[in-house]
Amino acid sequence: MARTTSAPVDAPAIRTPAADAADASGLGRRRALTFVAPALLLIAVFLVLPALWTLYLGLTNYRLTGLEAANPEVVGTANYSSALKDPEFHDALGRTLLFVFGSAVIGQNLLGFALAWSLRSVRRWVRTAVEAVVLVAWILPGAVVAWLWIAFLEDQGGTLNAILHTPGSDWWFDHPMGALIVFNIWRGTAFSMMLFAAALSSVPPSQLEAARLAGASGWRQLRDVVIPSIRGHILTNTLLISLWTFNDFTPYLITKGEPHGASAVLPVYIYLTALPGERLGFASAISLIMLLINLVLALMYVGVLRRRPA
Amino acid sequence: MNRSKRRAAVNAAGVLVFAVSVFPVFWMVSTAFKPNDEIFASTPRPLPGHATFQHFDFVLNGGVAGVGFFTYLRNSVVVALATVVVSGLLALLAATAVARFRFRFRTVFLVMLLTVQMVPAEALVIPLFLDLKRADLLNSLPGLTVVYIGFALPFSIWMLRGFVAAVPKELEEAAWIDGAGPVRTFLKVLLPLVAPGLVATSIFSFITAWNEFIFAYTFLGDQDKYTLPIMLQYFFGRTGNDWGPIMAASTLLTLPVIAFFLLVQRRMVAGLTAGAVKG
Repeated sequence: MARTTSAPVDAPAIRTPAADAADASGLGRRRALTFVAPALLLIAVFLVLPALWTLYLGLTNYRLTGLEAANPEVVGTANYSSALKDPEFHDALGRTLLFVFGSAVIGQNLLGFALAWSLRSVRRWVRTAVEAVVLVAWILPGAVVAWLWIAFLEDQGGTLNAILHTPGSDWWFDHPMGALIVFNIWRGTAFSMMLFAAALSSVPPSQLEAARLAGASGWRQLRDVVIPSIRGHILTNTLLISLWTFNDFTPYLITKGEPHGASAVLPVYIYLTALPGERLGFASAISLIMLLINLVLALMYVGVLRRRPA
Repeated sequence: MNRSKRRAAVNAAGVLVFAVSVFPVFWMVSTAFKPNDEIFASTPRPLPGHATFQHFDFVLNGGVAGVGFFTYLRNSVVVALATVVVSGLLALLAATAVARFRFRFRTVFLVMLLTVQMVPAEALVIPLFLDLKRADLLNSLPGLTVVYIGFALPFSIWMLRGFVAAVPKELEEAAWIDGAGPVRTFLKVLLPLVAPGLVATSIFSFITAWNEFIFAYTFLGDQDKYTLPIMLQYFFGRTGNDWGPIMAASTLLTLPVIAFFLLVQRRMVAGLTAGAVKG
């Protein structure tokens, strides 16, 4: 699945009975803190401090080479104000929102739910097989899936053109965002499918049975029984896949932002500005805006988890 | 509507999704074994007519950029294994502390873990690049590894915490009463019971480090230090005609991921969704 950030595996049961008791194996609290210290130090050095440093860098005119590399000057909020006015930044943000809504909020959510819903009743081996291949798409290295999709949609000899008998159609050039959206649905649906499958198994069968006996159609059962009882999971899922899609760098591996930046989503835009473009201060300002959007989504996620009853 | 007809339709849809999902991966393996004239045939066939190892041979024996495949393989393996071992150890210690003791800032620590998991790598590339440059760790595999360890920790601690909490505390108390010291209790009682969780976490951090692209791409400068994903992206032209070697190299890069994945598929499905569902 090739993501550096990843799904939390179990719920933040922040106050468990075990935690309220005195420590069991008699290690003592001081030792408990020494247990946490090395991990805490590394997380601080590589995640927390860089995030704070981004804030500072965004206030400077830091560049990779030249005079400003040796003596960066604080330019105040100039980077932020020019970023907020920059049409390229607006375009990148707009493309990112399109990417997130099209591929995650709508695509992965709906397809993942449809898969989970229909796989309930199929034979076990069909379910295991579908689960396995959908998951494989999710965990393959980005560097590999990028090539697979370049080959699939290529203009000369691309497999899709061979299937559709449309030789010479350059999908990545003519419809970069559409192609990226389809690609990301293919790649990321696994998580939604797994989450919804688990959620559906928690819907009380007696309620479904009652609805069926009352003559509710499949659609009505879905609307009146299933959706209300998994509403929390839909929210959780939407937040997580939006975060991941928002931060996905794989588009760079496929299109490098081409043609002419038409497929540069926000992470790609930051990369292109920072390294080939060498404008570190400006790119840091955009990074910080990206971090803030992430933080809002992450806090919403934590809030959803904490509010839900155990 | 007639029940069996509907069932058939659902099964057919399942088969279709299966086919669409698996197709690119199938095509990768198939192309890797095709000779060039079959790859570039005007109507490509699904399976190789005359399967050949020539592309694997080319990739493995340094046909790509003159640096042997095994150099990149070694770099990738060293970085991923070091990440797994160090982050697994540190995460286990931290998870034990978090699951077993109450201490000040414990809740803050947990919320922090959850929040930093959401931090996107791209947003931190610039400060980390400058940090590593200052520490003289740019363009070095150890430098890359410590960053991977830092990024692997929040998720690993989070995942292991659940496994440690699931071990009945009475077991440790019994060992304690029987006279085992803290180290022995940890090694003989807790560790064996947490082992399955440690395996799952390790595989997860292995796959993440093995697949990672943007840090390796930004931090590593010398060709002989590249990891496999960088090699795969860097040495083949975007419009080149190297499909045989590209797919052969992709297949080789994919093998460990699939192998490890098959080991933990069931656990992963259960584990990844448990938190989001159980609440």
